[in-house]
Amino acid sequence: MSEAEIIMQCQRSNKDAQRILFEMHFDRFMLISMRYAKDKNQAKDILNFAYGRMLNQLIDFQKSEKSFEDWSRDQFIEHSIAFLKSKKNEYYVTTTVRVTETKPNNDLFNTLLDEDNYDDVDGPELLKAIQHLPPSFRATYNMCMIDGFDYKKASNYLEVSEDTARFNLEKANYHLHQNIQQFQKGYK
Amino acid sequence: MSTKTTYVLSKEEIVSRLESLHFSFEEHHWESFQQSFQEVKVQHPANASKISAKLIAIPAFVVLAGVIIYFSINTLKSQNNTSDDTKVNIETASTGTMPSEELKPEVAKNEAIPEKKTETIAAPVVKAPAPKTITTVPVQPNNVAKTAVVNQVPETPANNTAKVIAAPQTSTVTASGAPVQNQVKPYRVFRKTAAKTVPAELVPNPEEDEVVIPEN
Repeated sequence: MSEAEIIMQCQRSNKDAQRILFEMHFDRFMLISMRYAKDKNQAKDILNFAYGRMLNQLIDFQKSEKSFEDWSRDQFIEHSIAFLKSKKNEYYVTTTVRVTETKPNNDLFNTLLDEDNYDDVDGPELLKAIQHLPPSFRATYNMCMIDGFDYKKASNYLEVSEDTARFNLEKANYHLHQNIQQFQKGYK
Repeated sequence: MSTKTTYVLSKEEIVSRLESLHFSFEEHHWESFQQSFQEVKVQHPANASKISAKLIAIPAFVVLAGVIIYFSINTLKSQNNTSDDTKVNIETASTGTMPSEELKPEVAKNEAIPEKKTETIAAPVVKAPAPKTITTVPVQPNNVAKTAVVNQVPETPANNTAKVIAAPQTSTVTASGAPVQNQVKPYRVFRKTAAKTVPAELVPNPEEDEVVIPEN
């Protein structure tokens, strides 16, 4: 059964087809969820939430001109951000606390990071450093750095201004640097 | 003031390192999704009409059931009230007095209630035991076939406004003095025992009916 047929069956609420589609793209969907989540448990929640929403909106896939891979990636990102924003206490409060804690000790805008220190950073370590970012920084970093969204599109998704999105990306880079350094010190 | 922040890693490096990660599918992933998918499905706008239909149908059913229960209870209550009225009437008729002084104002206010009561007591009152005081009226010895019927009405309290009183004792006595029948019949005292008086205009005056013949 081809992917088009599977998608057609999924639109008719065929459980077997939904399972096949879930299994086919599980690796890709799980990686997106892990990047936007703070840990593995939240990643599973995001995966379930986003895949369920995506199945309900499969009818929109026929109208779009994108491939299923691109369309499902956009859908997953959109629903992942919606999930994060639904956790209001976590999404807004945590960000404020983290910034307040780190601001007095560091000059955020005049920090020169050394790229040579990160050659030995592997995938799990980088993923862990991303997951330890505050939620709004993590979302901005994922969208603008990894998923290739421009500031305008990211600001629309996050419901902030473009300047705020740009500012959050700078802060996310700084916090990512801090996290990687902490992990490397911890391993040594 | 220009910022000198340098990215930790370039986009290509980040993507390549993250794509080295692989997650294997396991059966519990699908099971957990199926559990959470039911909640997502309910929240989707496509199911909004189904939800609204349920939201309307369930309260409507509850209200309908409540109305049915309400009317059925009312029906049962009315039946119980009717049977209670009958019991009270039986007691009232057998004793010949009102059950208590407290009931008097209610009876006086609503005159429709005694009317209803008098209609319901007809059958059961016949079975009620009447006081066995017989009044014998002296009968002429020569007139053997002549019988006398005496109606005796028991005394009622002065303030008692009830229209129903105990059934009077009716006894038929023969010339020898032995009672022939002892029948008890309920009736309305103020109607059946009231003497029928004829208006004075309708009573013929024998003096007026006399024919006066003029003398020629």
